[in-house]
Amino acid sequence: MDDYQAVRELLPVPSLSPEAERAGRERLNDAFATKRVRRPLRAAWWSALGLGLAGAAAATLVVTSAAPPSPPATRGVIAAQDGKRFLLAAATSVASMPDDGAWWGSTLVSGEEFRSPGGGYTLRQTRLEESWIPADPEARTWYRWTRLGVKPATPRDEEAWRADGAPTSWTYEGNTPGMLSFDEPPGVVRAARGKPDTFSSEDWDFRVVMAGRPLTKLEQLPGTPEDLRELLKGTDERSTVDNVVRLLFFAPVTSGTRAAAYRLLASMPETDAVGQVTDVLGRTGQAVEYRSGEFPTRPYAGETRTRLVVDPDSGAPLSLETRSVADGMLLNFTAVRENRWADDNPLKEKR
Amino acid sequence: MTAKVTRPVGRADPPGEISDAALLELSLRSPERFGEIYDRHFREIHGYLGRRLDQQAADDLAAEVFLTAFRKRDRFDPERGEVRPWLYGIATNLIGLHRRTETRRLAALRRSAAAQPSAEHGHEERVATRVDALNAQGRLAGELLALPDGDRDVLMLSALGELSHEEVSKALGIPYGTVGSRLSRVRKRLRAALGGVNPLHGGSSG
Repeated sequence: MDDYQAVRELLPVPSLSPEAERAGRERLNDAFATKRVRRPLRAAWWSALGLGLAGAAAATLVVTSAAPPSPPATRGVIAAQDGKRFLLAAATSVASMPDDGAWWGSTLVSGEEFRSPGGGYTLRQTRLEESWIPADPEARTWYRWTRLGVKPATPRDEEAWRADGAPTSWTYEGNTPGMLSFDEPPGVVRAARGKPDTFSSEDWDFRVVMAGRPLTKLEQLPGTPEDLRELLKGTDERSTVDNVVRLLFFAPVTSGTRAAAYRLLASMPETDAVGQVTDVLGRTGQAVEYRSGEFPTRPYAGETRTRLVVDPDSGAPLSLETRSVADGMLLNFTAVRENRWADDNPLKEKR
Repeated sequence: MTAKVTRPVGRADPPGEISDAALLELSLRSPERFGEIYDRHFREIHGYLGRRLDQQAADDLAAEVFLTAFRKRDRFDPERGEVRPWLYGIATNLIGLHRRTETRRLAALRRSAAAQPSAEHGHEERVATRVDALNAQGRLAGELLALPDGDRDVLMLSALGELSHEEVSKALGIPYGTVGSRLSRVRKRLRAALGGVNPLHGGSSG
């Protein structure tokens, strides 16, 4: 028995179309043609962050599009429809937030909802994800993940759950809905909360990466919506929205850049105003919705809508909620408890 | 380090052909020479990405690997190893940005193996063997899923990329000894999960 052979057979080589090979070559040819003068500072960061050998990384955003540096076309006027003015208010609020510190600390609650095995009620599974990303590219990123468990999603679901005998574990035939928990047998979902798991990694969490342009707390990040749009341009407008939202939620960038991101979102026709809503954690905010180009974390093939909820007073992003268009089921969400710059990283001190 | 030269299938390696490292150096002044690096390695890097993620991600990211390598080509140090493992290192770091795709893929493999019905008509014994094999395949996917990312990276570079310990160490920028200890730990787990059965062939080969 050869374990390597088994791995190779489990993961077969995909086919490679001549088009894909040619498209990649063309992107490269574009890069040859438009090769720009190297900027020393960026180059230094690049080597320190080292996507390749250095092993260090940055909290950055990957745009997998070609984005060959092309001269900006006529720049659109950045203007918001009425229902999206709260994004401009958020931009103003966030612009004055302090952004000094050695660590970008982020406390997120993420999860997904799914029906109970009998289909009688909806369950919500949540995780607490804390991460501390260093401004110093040589330092390690610290994480603490805690499984918060599974419970009925709403009071009405809770009633149905009680009527069902208030079970603390659920067994599905075949597939487990939602994210898998590694320590459970397939098909079993348990209510119990897990123990916090603290660890650090040389690799930063690359949530936001520009192709070839690592974004950290770099001063050269654009401070205007137009420049940000150029930088975050995806393969289509949908992925541009995704990139802007990821930057808002996950990236350790300056308050000025964050404000520019809000202004850019306000101007994008792909976002629709929704008005006042309550987010997944029960907080009140204003929202826009859009069709994300990303897949939900749990397998779902249908069409989805993603809602971005913001607190216009503080300028803080509250939550990102992806629902099925067909039945409104909350497929997955990420809610921000807190995002801030700080001098100390509490996780590091615990070790 | 054994100088293992791997070329895409179908490409001859005539004596005196310019080495990857020399091409890379030439590309510093003549960027278009970097295209030959692409032509030599694209298929292999695409295959690696596709095996770990999926074909669509591979189509996207394989090009990204070469764009990244092109931009970083002045940082390539031939003293530290060859171009091929360097490309694998870049590809692996990009996979790190797409963990969810990888996790979803493995989870789906685990589920599809576990959920496979045994309603295949035919010889009962053969059916039983087949179910065993599927279970082992599901367990293998489950083990891969449960591995820490760093361990999985080392395993995949070794199993799929067929990189030597030293090449893995250089590709990931981790100490040589760490590669060995991670691999032996991981392989022990995989072998236990497989339980002496090749999950795809079904038959016991032990």
